[in-house]
Amino acid sequence: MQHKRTIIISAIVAILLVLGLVYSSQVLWSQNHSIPSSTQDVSSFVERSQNLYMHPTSSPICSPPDLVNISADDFLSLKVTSSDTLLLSGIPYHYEVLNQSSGAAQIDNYTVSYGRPISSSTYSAGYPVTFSIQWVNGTRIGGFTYYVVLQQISSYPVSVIVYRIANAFFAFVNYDPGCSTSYQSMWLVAVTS
Amino acid sequence: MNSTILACSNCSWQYGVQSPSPSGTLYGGFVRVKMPSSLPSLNCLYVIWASVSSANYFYQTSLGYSPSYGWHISAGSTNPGVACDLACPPFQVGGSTFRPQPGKTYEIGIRFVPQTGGSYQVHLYFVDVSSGTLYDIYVVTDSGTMTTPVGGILESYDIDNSDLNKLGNGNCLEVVNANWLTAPYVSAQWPHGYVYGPTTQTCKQNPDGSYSGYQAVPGGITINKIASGDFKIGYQVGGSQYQSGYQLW
Repeated sequence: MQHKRTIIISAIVAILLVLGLVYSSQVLWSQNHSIPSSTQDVSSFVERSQNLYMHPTSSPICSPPDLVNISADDFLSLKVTSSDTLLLSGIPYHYEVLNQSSGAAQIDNYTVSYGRPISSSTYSAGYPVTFSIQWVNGTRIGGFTYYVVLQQISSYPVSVIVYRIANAFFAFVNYDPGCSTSYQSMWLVAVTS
Repeated sequence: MNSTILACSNCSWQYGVQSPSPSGTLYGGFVRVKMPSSLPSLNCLYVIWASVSSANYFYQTSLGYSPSYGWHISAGSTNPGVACDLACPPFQVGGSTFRPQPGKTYEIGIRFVPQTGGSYQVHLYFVDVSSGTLYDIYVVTDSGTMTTPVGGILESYDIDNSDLNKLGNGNCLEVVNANWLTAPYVSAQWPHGYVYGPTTQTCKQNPDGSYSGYQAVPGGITINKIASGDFKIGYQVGGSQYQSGYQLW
């Protein structure tokens, strides 16, 4: 009887250990996961946004494109050259595309972590996503909050919001050609040496 | 013991009407909302907001029901001057929550007042039309001008038709004026009103348990134009569930 009980307890512990490992690996994966995007996908997205900026939709509900913290010349100079490199004003950056919910990414000497409130039902019109940037040694460099607001994003055929911290920049590129609330977004972080 | 499942979506749906994009300098906008004759309790957040963005920030002033706060008026912004951002508490007068009253009309809006040096003081405000009293909920500074259409948008997490029916035909919210500000204290009706939304089903759970995206607007939610600048919105209020960009007037 005692032997049977030991076997059952051991089995339960083993199952819990396996479940724990699976859960841990999922958490680790989700925290480090970025949207898989081919160079071509990212490049196409940037080019489509730039084209819409140059030739914005003529619609009574579309406002002129909105650039925040980036000049038109800089935005139009943005060029994706490989799966991890882009040029901004001729300066090479390593970049990574971020998923649009929460997670973490390590790029060069930076660690980026970000997330949105778990419970969003107290928010109206939109919600915040809070970013924190650290050196890989854990020293915090800074942070910012990006807001996802549908009515704001869909008022522009193209909107680009940039945050700069140390040698990194974060770009939130949205386009909605018809200003119809069916927008496309790309979030990316880029670092220069 | 019987229990009732309260059906709230994990993501909100949004549906409403917006002005054209401003072609010249404008100073904000508002909608005047006539309250239903009775104000029921609901299971989930149900608010209508007036909104506008500058080149930098988004602003909204809202009126509606929250399970936490009851019927209330509030406001929010991505401008860091509004510390509670888009999750602000109800507006209070003398320490008590201001309660919009059944059948009365409230103007909810955003006003950009130019300042010396080129910036604006942005007022998130409402007016109790019956008493003529204006209340500033938040006043913040913005260096940017107003750039987007003015919105009059209904937003809710409620997807239970029987619950939505409490604010449906015969007892719904009605926008009785939709104006923009041609000067800080001068308004004119939007020349046209275009349908905003309905949001489609893009709601998904993220690995951390949060949710992204939007809920599809329930099929029974409609807009019924009464006149230019005047429409009912809610569950089966007549009219139709017009699609994005439809010119209502």
